[in-house]
Amino acid sequence: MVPFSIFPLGDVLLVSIQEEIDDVSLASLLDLLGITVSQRRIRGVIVDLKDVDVVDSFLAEHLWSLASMLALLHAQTVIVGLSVPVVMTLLDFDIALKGVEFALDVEQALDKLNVSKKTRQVT
Amino acid sequence: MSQRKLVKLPDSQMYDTECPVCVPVNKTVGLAPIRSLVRCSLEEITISSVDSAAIMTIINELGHNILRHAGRGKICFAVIGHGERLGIRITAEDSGSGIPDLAMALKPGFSRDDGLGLGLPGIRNMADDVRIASLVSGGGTFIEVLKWLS
Repeated sequence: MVPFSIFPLGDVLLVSIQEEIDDVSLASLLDLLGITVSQRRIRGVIVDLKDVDVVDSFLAEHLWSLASMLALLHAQTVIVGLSVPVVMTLLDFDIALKGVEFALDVEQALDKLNVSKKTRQVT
Repeated sequence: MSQRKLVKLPDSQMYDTECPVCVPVNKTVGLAPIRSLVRCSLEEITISSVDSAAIMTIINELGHNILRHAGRGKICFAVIGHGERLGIRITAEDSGSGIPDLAMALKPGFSRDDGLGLGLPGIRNMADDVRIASLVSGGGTFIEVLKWLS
């Protein structure tokens, strides 16, 4: 079973990452998102990390690569679900993730991406 | 009941140290076994969620370093005590190519594989003590991390 799930919400994708995701799975996720975003003209990807208890420099590197790639494909990346302890470790690691946007939860990310209430209900 | 013993560390202080548990890290098993072991161990002691996240992050960093630069190695984990204080001692060992320039490896932004280069500097920020021994040309790397719990 792949350690991530992708749900379409109109022209936005919601990606839920599970705790034990490894480098290989993250690389496949990046490939898959690159193809999906370009083929389906996706304008935003919400990455939900609420099930992830550790964001180390390796995961951060993948997130940064993802955001950079999606920016070139004219799509926005919003990361949600970071717990306070995870935020504290990100600060310790001096991980800034420039170019990546953050929101507290999926609802706030959908607001940021201007996804209509109607689209949210349909999906 | 866990076996405890006194261990004299290089700073000449005595630590009441539980026997470390060592778990192999390789591309077949990944980091799941060591993460699971550490998570279970942390559940048995009183620890803040911030300390817990820091320790799990240190384990992840050390494990990923082994997988990326050596392919295989082992991580050992022990709860240590000093008077009223509790702490965690983690060691990571591999027989990879070693770190050619330790001073550079500890500088934020330096990476041997185009990564963010924040792993070792980040561990140093989160831990109370980090010791690294590395022998280039296949001599491997040994990293010891000590973190006292708040």
